[in-house]
Amino acid sequence: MKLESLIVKSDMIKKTYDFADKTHIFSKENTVGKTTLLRAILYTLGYNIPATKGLKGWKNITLEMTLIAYDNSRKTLLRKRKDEIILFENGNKSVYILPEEQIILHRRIFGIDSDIILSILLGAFYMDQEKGWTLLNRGKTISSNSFHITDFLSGLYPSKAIEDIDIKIRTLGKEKKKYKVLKQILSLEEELVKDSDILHEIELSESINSKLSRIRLEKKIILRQIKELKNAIRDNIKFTKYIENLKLGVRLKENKDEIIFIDKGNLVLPDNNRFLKTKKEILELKLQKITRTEKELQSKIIGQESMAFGEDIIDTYLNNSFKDIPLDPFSVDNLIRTVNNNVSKLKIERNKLYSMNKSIQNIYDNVVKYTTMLGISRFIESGNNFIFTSELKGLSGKVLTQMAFSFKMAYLKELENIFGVKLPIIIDSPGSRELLKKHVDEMLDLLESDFTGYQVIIASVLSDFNTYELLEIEKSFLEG
Amino acid sequence: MKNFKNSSASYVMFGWDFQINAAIYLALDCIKKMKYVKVEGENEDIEISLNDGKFYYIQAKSHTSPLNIDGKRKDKLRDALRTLSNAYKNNQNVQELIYVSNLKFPLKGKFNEYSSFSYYFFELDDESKKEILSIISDRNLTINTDLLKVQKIQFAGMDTKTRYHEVSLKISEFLNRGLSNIDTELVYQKLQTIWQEDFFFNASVNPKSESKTITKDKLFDGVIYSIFDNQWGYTNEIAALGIDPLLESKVRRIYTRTIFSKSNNYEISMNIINGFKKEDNKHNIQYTDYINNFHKDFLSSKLGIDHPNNEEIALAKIIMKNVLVNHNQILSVKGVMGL
Repeated sequence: MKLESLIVKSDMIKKTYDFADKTHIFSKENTVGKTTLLRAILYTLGYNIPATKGLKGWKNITLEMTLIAYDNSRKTLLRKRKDEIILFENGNKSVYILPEEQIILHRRIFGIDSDIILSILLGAFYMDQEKGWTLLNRGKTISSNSFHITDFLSGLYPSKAIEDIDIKIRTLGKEKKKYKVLKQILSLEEELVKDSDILHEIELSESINSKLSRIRLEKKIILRQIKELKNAIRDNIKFTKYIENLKLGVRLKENKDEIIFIDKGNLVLPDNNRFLKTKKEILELKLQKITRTEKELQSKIIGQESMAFGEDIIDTYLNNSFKDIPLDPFSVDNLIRTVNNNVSKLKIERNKLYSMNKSIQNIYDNVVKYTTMLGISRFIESGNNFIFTSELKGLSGKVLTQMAFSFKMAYLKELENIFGVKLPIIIDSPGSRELLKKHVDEMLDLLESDFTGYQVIIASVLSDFNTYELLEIEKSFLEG
Repeated sequence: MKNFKNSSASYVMFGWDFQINAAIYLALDCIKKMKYVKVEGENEDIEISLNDGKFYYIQAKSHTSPLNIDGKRKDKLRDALRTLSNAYKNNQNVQELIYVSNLKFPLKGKFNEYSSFSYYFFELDDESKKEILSIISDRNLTINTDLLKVQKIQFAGMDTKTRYHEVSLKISEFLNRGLSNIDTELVYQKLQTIWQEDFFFNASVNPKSESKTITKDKLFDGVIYSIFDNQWGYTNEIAALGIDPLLESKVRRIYTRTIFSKSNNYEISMNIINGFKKEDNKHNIQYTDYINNFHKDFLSSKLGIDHPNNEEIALAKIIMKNVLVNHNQILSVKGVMGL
């Protein structure tokens, strides 16, 4: 695949940039427009990419790119608007709505038959001047575009089992969000009902109606609890009477003539009923307080004319929503904990499935190969699990930059291996992060030896990249 | 308990608050031999009746800013001795006459500035003794100094944690005497709140009313409630019962009401307690072993489940554990309370 040219049109200006197999976008000074040009390329490819500060957005600019797609067909992309891209091919015109149809468009350009890979692909072939050089295997590529190694691997070897796990994880994530909201509501609820007098002391920015709803909800729960306690107490009394009615007699060892009949007086019972009665008393006191507060709130509502037409939506909502769920923040905490644990278990299961994915070893082998070529292989841990590493701390700027580069090149190699495509490699400012010219040269040498047939576009203030065609920006992105 | 702001009404409320907390504190000091306690009794601020018919008469004096007050110290002492004298005149069947205060220095002698204390008259410094004797003689009071005791309880501040620190410690120490393998923090906080409410209500009842007395049984009701209602405690045993903690929390969540009703059912409780006793008499076993060996019998006979799944097994174990642990804890506290 190869990008041929980009035409930039704005009011009176029209500027054409041609790209060679190896292009060095160069300017003598920084902040002239190199990064803007790279971003314009990506924007024209259909990505959601912010313009650089100097340009103040893509409005009023028309971008037109001609490229050779994966199947050697020549295509032209025209982007005038943020939400639309037009593709011209063999005199035919197709319109793609963005971002909804971005992936459909990219299938036609990149020839990769995996939606999940297409959704993160940018992270594999583009190295942004800021985030790109620290992104190894997960994180933001630029703006809303992100990359995640697990998604990448799922796309290389699609697995129904992994997909199912991913769906479960996403569903649990949504569930957790709901529980968190519920917990907040319930915590507030608990605060409010701890002592109904508190209603007089705190000022909440909510209506009397919703306070009343909370109180009624609490009242309903207490009434239900009291009813259950009464039933439990009654059952226990019934049981005691049942035992008495059995008229059981006990003959003592010491005095065999005497028989003691079991009755309420000598039956040793556990302390359950004392507990149940105390709990009932406590709840009844609470109920008294709450009923008092309810009446106060009711009379306030009557006093407010504006309430005359108000339908108590919150009341209905609370009564319906909390019918079948545990009603205290503690229980909800447990739910959240359970969700977290299930997610962890699923992730472990997913990792096991990944370990059967052949690409892991391929990527790891290539990372080892490229880091060896760059002289930083001592920072690689043994075992292909290393490609999932999140241990970036301690790596110096230079090592981290070259490490990120090695990872990305390994991704590209695996894409070639699986899909047979050679994506353009777009690199922004490789020399700006503690990298000397010789270090950049080492990376270019690597591309030279291992990435034959790949188009490379580099933006850099460094001069003298031997085999690269120079594309110099003298004034600005728009003026060239 | 509410916080009271600085107003004349708040001084009264603070005084009550001190009185009820002092009553809890002092009742716990003699819990084994105590029969009942009254706050705002006929003869004194706090009256504790003992099993042998004798009384502790206690006069409570407090100040909202006990750390700064000094001028009214002697007035308070004088008032306290006067009312103790009146109480003693009415009934001489007294175990101790106690002046309890939250002042930094309740007596003339400047000692134990930052801690609570309890001294009999004969243990006091000469300066304090001299002052007390001079008040008794000047006012012609009837006080047997052999029975006199001066007690200071740290009790200050708007922050309830600080204010109730001493009484919290006392309750927690009381529970620790009886309970084991239990998160007493949860239990004592609950117990403290219940007792404070009970005493607060009691203090407002007419001294001659029958409901004025807080019997030891009534105090015990609070203990039972705090222990039985502590359904989230005792997490240590979960592993010994072979229940996955996650499964446990799931079962507790789904079966909250079942666990509550079954754990508090006489028939079920007695079945579990007696079953355990029988096995314990035979083999002297731990209750966790009993549960691990017999939960299937329990599931089948009491819950009608013959082929239980993991959740049902966990449910049975939790109910059995609740019953046995609660029963055991209650027996221990009964011992501490002399019931």
